[in-house]
Amino acid sequence: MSGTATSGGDDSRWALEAHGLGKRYRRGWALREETFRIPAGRVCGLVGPNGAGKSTLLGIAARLVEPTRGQLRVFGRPVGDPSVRPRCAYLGQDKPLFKRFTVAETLRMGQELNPGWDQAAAERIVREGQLAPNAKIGTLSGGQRTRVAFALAFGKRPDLLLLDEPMSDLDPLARDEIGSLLMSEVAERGTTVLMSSHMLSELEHMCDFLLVVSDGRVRMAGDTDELVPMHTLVTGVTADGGLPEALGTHTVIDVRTAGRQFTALVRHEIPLDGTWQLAEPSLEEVLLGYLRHPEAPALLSPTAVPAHREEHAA
Amino acid sequence: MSVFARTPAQEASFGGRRRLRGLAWLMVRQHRAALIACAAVTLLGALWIIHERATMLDTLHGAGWPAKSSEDLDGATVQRLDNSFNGFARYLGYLPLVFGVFIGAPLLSADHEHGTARLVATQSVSRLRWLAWKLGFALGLVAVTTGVLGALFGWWWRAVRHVVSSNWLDGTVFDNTLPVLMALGLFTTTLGIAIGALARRAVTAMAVTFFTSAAFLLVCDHFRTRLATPRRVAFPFDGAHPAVLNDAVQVDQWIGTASGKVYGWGTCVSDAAPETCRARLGIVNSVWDYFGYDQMATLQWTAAGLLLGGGALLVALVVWRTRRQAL
Repeated sequence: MSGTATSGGDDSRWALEAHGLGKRYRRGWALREETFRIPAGRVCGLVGPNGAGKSTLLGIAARLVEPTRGQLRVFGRPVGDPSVRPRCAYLGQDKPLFKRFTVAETLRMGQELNPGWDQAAAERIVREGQLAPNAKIGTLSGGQRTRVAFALAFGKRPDLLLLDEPMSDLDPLARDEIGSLLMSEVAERGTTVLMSSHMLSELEHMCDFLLVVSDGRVRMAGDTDELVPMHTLVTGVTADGGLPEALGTHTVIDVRTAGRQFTALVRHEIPLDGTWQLAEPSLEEVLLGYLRHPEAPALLSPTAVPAHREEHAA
Repeated sequence: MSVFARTPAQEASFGGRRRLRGLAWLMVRQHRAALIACAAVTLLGALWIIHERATMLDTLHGAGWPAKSSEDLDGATVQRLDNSFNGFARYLGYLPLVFGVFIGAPLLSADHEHGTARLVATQSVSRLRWLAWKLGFALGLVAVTTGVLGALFGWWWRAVRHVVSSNWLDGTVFDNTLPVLMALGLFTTTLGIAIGALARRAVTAMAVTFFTSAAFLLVCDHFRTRLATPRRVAFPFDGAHPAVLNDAVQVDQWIGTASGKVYGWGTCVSDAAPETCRARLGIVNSVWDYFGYDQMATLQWTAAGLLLGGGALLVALVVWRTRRQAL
């Protein structure tokens, strides 16, 4: 039950595998029959605008939401399988805890409800935050409460950690503290992390894998090291107020013009010629380009798609 | 002190003995207030009943009862005893409503509202097992409290029933003794739980449960006589009551002819010459529809059966709803 990638045979190379995964609420589809996978042992950022389906995806993986269609496998097992339960930990955006419990009682709850509980690890995380065991959860600050929630999540010794905007309500100091706590625990255990966030710079620091969703569809998925170099930031002079025709042979994701000058984010299949000024974009620039243009063709790296399709029609 | 240093004090405050395990521990810890309140109500109620029963019997024995029939006792004394009995019965009668509002309604709605349902569901226990513990804990608490108090109240009433509240079909006795008190408590609690599972807001659920349960209990009052078929007895008009009417509860009263034809109780009453009027119609009998004391158990168990059946349906609704719904 503990230990990464030891059970489930070959398939445990993949922390998450979605096949035609869809969730429909009364107001419409939150996730539209998506197929993708996330390799084990990675820190995967889940990016997208509000309402894109990030929380739904995390909810399905945490068994809080039942998918309408398709299947999600966690380390090769269906998400509903009881053996998956102890392997995943989930931390919601609001980090719910029992407000009347003390810190010690909260950890006791983790101990009572999880067979593979690591009390020492949970206590260490709480102690590092200088939290008194008999402090009531209701009296703690947001950062302290997040720390207790993390202690509860890590005490479970999860192989997969699902985080729904874990830092969104923290002040910069607490954000930094919790961020380094997360990274050190993950590095120590090799835990796979899937975290949604609006903080693009935060993701650039922490994540080595990306899943970009928008309007319930996966827009981009793959290694950050793979995805970013496939793009170039092209700056040049506009031709008749538009893009030069020569750029048309490439996939243009995003264009912005200022006066006679344009800046385009281009996905290049072949090397670009040198008439323009070329620069490698930052991860943030690539993400913004895709988020700004949901109609741009999706980019799924071979690692991220079970069928090894490089692209599929959006 | 280094952050990593573990002083014995810290060790102790994190450790502690684990007498309860798993979800049992969580239930007791999360619902500690309800548990303590129920234990206190049960204990104080039980002591009060035992004390009042003893005092009441002392008073009655001092006045020469049961050698002297209850009609011959001092009216003021009987009135005082009756008031004390009915006063306690009234408090007991509020229990189902209190359980519905304060134990049933917030049971699931508070967990939904504060997100703790998600917290527990993402630990290593299944949602259904958690739900089973929640329902079992709340209903068990209600069953024990109402069981103890209902049994003791019935014991009190049976000792003094000829003096106080001889109408056992009245809510005072019927609703507050076993098995009806327990069934009512369980029903209103499941009603509260079901409303909470649908409303997902504790205060809303409590308010809705209060009004729904109060309305339900009022309506119940009117259906008590329909739980079984009343028996009918005819006896000579102006004659003495037959023995079958001892401890019986009258449901309806008629007047009738020797052939069995019945007239409304008010027939001939406002006539100028009632005697002549009755003679003309051939009325010679008083006719009573009644429930005999031996029917009390049947009536109570029928009521309890209906309430528990309704409760079971509500539990099924809660399980179905909680199982499917996104947390």
